[in-house]
Amino acid sequence: MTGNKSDDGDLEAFFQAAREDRPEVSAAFLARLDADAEASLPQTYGMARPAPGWRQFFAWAPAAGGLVAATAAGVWIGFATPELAEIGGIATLSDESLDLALFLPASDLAILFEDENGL
Amino acid sequence: MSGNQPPAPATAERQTLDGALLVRAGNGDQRAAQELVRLLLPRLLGYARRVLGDSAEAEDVVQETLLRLWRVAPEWRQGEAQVSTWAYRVAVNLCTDRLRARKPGVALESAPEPEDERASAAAEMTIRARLVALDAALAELPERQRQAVVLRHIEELSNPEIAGIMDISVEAVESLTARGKRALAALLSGQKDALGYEDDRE
Repeated sequence: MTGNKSDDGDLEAFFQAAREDRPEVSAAFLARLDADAEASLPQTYGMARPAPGWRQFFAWAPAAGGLVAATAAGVWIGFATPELAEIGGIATLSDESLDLALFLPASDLAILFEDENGL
Repeated sequence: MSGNQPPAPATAERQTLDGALLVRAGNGDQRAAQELVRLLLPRLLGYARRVLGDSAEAEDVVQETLLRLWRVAPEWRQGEAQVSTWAYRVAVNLCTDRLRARKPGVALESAPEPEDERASAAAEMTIRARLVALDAALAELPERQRQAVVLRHIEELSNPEIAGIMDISVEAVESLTARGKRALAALLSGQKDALGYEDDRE
């Protein structure tokens, strides 16, 4: 085992034995590694990351703020310009037949008029 | 390892798979983390046990390596680095720390019995004798030579991979492995008959 070629050949038997000598992994060790992963990694796969407690408490604030603003705007429009609230609204639909016509297709209307004319 | 391990994929494919699993693990996918553990574990544990010569210490190194991996997992970007190279680098550094902290003359534990029960008793004894002799000879090498030889000739990594893991040049890896092999050959000389490796070459 002095020359390089000879060294390679001789050592290869040792290396081969070591390559085939794969370590046994105990179930307990594997369970410990899995527990480490579970404790160390975030628990958020497939769902939103949970917010801290104080942020969860105020989570409804943006939605509630929007609702309050929209309500206030509606009230202000109603008081300041009441005529705007009537345009296109139900107040303009005083004729009962017009109400009905709005919800019936044209073919049904024809039948209605035929009945009224007694035909 | 137990017999129900998945077959090892080819190197490039394996590296892509490792990276994808780590990204998923970083997003909280425990199943991906478990799969990655089972892919990395044989390599890391084999390396650490061979370099340290102590199963319990090798398990500690692997556990610490994986804990550090989980810490970086949420920020891991696939393709930026290779998971196995990163993990080996941590394991190499942890092993180096342990080797340097050891007092000289710490006895290596004997190699475990080979797994193959079909081998004849004589063949088993020969293989076991080779492993014991190799571990004893490896323990005599300077730590960097030992690590390079194990990574190159037992873990079968390429020289560029080892250079990345050990943070040295490819030429330095070649030098370490060449000197390590020469030293191993000298340490193991005179045991040809006892270890029966002349028979393998016939």
